[in-house]
Amino acid sequence: MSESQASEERLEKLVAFLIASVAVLAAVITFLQTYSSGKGDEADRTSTQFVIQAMQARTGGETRVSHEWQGAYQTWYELDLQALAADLAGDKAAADRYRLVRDRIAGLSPILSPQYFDPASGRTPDYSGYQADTYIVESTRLTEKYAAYNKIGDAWDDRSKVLIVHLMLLAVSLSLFGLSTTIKGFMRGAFIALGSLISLVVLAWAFIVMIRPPPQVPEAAIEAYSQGVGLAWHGDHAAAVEQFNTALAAEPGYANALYERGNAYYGIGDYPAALADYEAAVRAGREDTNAGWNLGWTYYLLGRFDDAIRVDRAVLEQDSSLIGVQFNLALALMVNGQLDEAEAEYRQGVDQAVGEMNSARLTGAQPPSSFWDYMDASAADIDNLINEMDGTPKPWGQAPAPTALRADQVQLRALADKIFYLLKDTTVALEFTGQAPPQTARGTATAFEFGTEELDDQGNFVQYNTARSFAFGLNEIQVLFDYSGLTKGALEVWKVYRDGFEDPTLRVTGNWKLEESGSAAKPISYAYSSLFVFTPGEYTVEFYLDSHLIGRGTFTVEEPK
Amino acid sequence: MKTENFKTFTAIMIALVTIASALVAWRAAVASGEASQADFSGLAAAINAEEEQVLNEIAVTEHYQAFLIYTRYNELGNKLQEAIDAAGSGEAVDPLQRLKSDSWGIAYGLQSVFFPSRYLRPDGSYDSQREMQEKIADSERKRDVKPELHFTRADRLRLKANLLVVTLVFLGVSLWLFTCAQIIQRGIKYGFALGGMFLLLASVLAMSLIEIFL
Repeated sequence: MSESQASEERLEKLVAFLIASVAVLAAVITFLQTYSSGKGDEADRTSTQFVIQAMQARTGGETRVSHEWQGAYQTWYELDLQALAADLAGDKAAADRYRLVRDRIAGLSPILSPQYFDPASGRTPDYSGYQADTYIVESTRLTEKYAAYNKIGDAWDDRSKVLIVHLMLLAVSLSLFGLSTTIKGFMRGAFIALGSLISLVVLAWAFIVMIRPPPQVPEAAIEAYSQGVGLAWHGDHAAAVEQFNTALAAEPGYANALYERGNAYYGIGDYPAALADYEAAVRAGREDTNAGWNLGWTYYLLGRFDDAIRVDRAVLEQDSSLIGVQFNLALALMVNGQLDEAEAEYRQGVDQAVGEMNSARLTGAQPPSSFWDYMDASAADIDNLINEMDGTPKPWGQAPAPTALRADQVQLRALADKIFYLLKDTTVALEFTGQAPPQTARGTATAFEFGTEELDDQGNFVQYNTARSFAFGLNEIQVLFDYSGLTKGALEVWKVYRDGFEDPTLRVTGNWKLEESGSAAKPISYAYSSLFVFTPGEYTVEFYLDSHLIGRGTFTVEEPK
Repeated sequence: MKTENFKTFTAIMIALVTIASALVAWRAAVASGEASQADFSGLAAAINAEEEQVLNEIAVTEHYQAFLIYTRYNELGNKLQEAIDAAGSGEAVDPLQRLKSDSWGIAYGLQSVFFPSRYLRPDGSYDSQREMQEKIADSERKRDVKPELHFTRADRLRLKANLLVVTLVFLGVSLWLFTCAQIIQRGIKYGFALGGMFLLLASVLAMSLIEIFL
């Protein structure tokens, strides 16, 4: 055997050894890939199981809560009103009978137990507290487990995909080794070297992939988080913060816990702490529009208008249909002194609202019910801002400190006034006519006065006793004003807000029956029954004609003495 | 071309075809994995949609039930008012007045607590359909309830994976042609090499187009 033949034989043996070694490595990686893929499927299966269980918990829980509310509490409430009516009529025996039946009902339902309901308080049962205990905590726990297992499934699937790459690379190595036997010279050596290098890289890479621990289900963090969500659900924000702290101690980058703790701080009124958590939640992966929406709004409240504008714009890039964020952006621009841009954004929001209503109607659908809330809230935000600037902030209103405003206050007020009317007109026009406000002239009304009717002994009208504040016990009030430029037969809408929020049961609609100009007295009344009076609070009455806001005024009903 | 050089050329081409095949197989596996993930997300969205539908149905049905009880009291009040109007004045109407006040009062109480007044129509009926549609629109805003978006993506990714696998078949034929070109000594080997080269380039082009458009 010559020297070259011997060398050739050694090389062939080396190649055969390398091919056998790579084949073994490929077999091991195939096993790991199959194992990883199986673990991924297993996690996905568990995840699906949890999402179905969460659905069951929510639908079952909500069915139960709803039936307790509409069945048990509604029956209790009817009997309570009947007892009250009997009392008012002086029929004590009947009132007692109704109360006995009412109390019997109370013993039959958990929502009417002392844990959730104190009849003496005059309030409804703690609906959200009952929801939290019945299913919110459980469904949150299951949903978080679904998400955690989904993440684990993704991690195993990623691992499986990387192992497939490894198998492909090993196939290339085998091919190079095989080809090296068909050629001679430098190329043969190069093929063997390249094949060996690829195999070694695969070996090291697969080792690193497999020793990296897969994500685990953070059970303790999920438990604390779920409890926190339950507490926040029924308004115990301070206790919820404690639970979220526990969750974050167990799982520091828990994005949902950061976000919900931010919401809890917001509920307490600690806006700087809320802001810090929202920012941390976004950094931890909560990049959805809800987190951005809250973040932008908190920047606004804290006077960081440039940041608010930046975040609102980013949220709108994600989802341009979010009309609430569109108006938040316009508001932030307005207080930042960018008045022209603010007006343009407001008008864009109004056009968007009209467009959304039109497209919903064309498809026989409806815009979301939240659409009306955001339309109403956009005008309320301006109102709150003006109240803050006037030094008369309302407890239910939110606005940045006047010292943070960057706009000229005179110009800002002028624009705010114009936009306020635009938003109010559009909301009423869309809700009652489905169209943009008509291009008709706006009538005028004098400032509203509020009064009660004074009658003589025979029940004849004597005069209106006007005031701004009325004692508890009032069951009818007259809105008094002079007007001009109103069209007979036009759509008339009256809306009443108590402590900043509309009470739709006091809404009145119809057609204007009076003359084009004159004096009017409009009753806002519970007088059709002896059972109800105005609840204490600040009432704002708005009058619209032909979808134009004509007049607006406020009166107060005092607390009972 | 000298025989040795041609052999080296075909060996390099075979290596390139192998690498291209590995690349295509990897992209196909990734696309297939993403399709499975999209299917999973679609399933979760379908579950969300069904859940929202059930929850909305519960709420609207409960509201409608409350509205029916409200209507009972309200209409009773209306009938009592008609009776009062017919009776004129006097002591006889006092009990009717009381009953009317009670009926309307209870009707108002139910309206203020147990169903949203916004859906009361001027004719006294309740617009359950509108409430349901608004709730569905709200659900679409709040949660992922559109499985079809995920399923469409899954179908697209599955098509991509299938097309890449088809490309893999052509790369296999290309490999076969280059291998024949290396084994055969006659002039036809150039034809095999040319065919292999054409299929390799076509496959690479096809893979690029699939990656760009799918």
